[in-house]
Amino acid sequence: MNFDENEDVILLRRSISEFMKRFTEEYWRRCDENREFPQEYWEAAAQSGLLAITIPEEYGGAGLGMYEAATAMMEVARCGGGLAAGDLLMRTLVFGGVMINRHGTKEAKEKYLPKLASGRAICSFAHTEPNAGVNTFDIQTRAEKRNGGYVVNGQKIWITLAHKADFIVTVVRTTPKEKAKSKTHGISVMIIDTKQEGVKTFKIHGMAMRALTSNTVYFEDAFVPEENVIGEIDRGWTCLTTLFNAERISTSSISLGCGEYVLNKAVDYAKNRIIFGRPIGSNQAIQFPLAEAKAELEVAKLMTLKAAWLFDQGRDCAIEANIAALQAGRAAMKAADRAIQTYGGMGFALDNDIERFYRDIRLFKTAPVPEEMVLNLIATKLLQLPRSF
Amino acid sequence: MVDCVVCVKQTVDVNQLRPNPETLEPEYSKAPAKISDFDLNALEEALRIRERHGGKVYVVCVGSNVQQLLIREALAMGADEAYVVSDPALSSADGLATAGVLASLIKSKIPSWDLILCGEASVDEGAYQTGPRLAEILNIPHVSYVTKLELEEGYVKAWKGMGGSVHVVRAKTPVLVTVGLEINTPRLPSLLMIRAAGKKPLNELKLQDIGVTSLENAVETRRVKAVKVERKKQVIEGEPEEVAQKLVEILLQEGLVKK
Repeated sequence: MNFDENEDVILLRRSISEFMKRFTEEYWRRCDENREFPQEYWEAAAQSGLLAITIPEEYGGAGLGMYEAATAMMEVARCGGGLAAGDLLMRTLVFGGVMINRHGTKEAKEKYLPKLASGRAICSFAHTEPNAGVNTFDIQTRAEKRNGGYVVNGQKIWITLAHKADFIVTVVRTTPKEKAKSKTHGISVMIIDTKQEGVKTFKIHGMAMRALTSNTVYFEDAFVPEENVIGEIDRGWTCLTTLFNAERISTSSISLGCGEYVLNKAVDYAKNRIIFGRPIGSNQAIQFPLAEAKAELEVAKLMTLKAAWLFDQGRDCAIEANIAALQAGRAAMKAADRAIQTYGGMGFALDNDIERFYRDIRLFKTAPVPEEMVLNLIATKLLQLPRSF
Repeated sequence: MVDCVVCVKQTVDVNQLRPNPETLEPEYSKAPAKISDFDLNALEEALRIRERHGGKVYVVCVGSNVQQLLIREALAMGADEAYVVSDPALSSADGLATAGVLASLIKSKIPSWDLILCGEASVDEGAYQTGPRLAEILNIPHVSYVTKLELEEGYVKAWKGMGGSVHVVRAKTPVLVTVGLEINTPRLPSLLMIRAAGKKPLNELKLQDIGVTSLENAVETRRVKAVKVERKKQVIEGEPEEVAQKLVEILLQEGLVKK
């Protein structure tokens, strides 16, 4: 077993660390407070090639894998960009780079991948519905074959950045549930261009990820050309598992970066805050929880990178990716909580950025999949316990 | 076409360098290594010259325990080829010894060059010696503290910062130029540049490979230690005007402000 990272990965991390110095804490705080898209970051990330990591070289990308993508997401989050910076990379690298590249048609790759790699297009992913929650098989958004393509009708909810997206990778039903040959049959995935009348978005002002904003999306006779189908019609579940695994690796990486950020801030504060004549960090009541948070982040990082490595080998990594997301989310939450405790009252001040990270880190315990569903998966798939639902 | 040689030094990140609390000696091994800041400006200037005039950019580095990764970073910025002499004997080399090794390296390994660019000093020692000494050894002209550089046929035109004024000078090539932070902003390597760097030649050498058998230092460093500063913790009490008056008196007395 070799844990040495290759030189490209180390250089990538160092380069991102320098790159992120252009974007101060004030910048990210302003984006959060104003619910403002970080346009300057987006453009600079495109220029530096960060949006091109997983896109093949023939489409203007770097042709790298999830390991490098995970490294990049972790680092932009750790360097102060937090959830917003990491999530913006995920949209392109996973929903576009991985999904369209692995399962899309040649026409779709030619049309979308160069634009994604250069930052000329923003991609979103629409899965969750008001009446289906995390149960993909109960989704009601349907696509019907018509005029050389498909016509989509339905509603999606909590769709991050849909209001700015040029296209949305969307999960739809192409065969009604009652007529499906199996539980997973009848689900399809399509790329829906948003610049058409049949796509309407409405912002939801939420607690987390304020710089990017979630949306409700309505599809009303939205047209999808045949070549925009990802994978096979009715068999979209196969490619969705690819997306879910890559998404878990991504959210795990972003959690870890956010966790490292708040932990580093807490450690600095603990070293420099003098009470009772000595740094508060010399008290074990302060230092032990910070040490625990560090230990848990490190363990979660190992699992995240293992999942990313498996993914890049083309091997199944559902268990590893889900365990990584669960543990990274929890470790980051603990780090954020202890950071606030270490800061005391100052932890609640907006200017210290801990509360922003605390709000954002909380997201990944609930979305894109609640940790209860991750535990379900571990219990039933790994431990072979009977299903509860 | 202008071929440039850029001298880079591996230093520590001085922002993360801390003194040992007991001995007050800097704990170099605990601070991360990096390429000295001014050297990145020198490299950036060489890359801009190549973009305008063509040619090759060689990076040369001498020191002890030089990390290949840092040189890859220079290649990722855009340098074409690198030569590194990494030898434990160089751990205590001063500007004279370093310039001597650089001269041997350049003479023996770089086929042709028109311009040598160096950072005006290194961020760790700040001696401002290596560049000018290298020019003297190579018997070529040098211009230091350059804030703007242009190339003309067979000459460089350099804007040389002199504190309160700028001298514009011309020097015949081959020439050595030292630069500081003002001259440009070094580029960050993009992902594609990082990937390309892995395929560029990075030549690792020992002192004997370039014919160096002994090192000559001009300076003997006996000890490096941080200055311990104790706060005086003086508290001034009274009415605001009285406090201000006392504060001014103390500042004058300590020589911190002048009348």
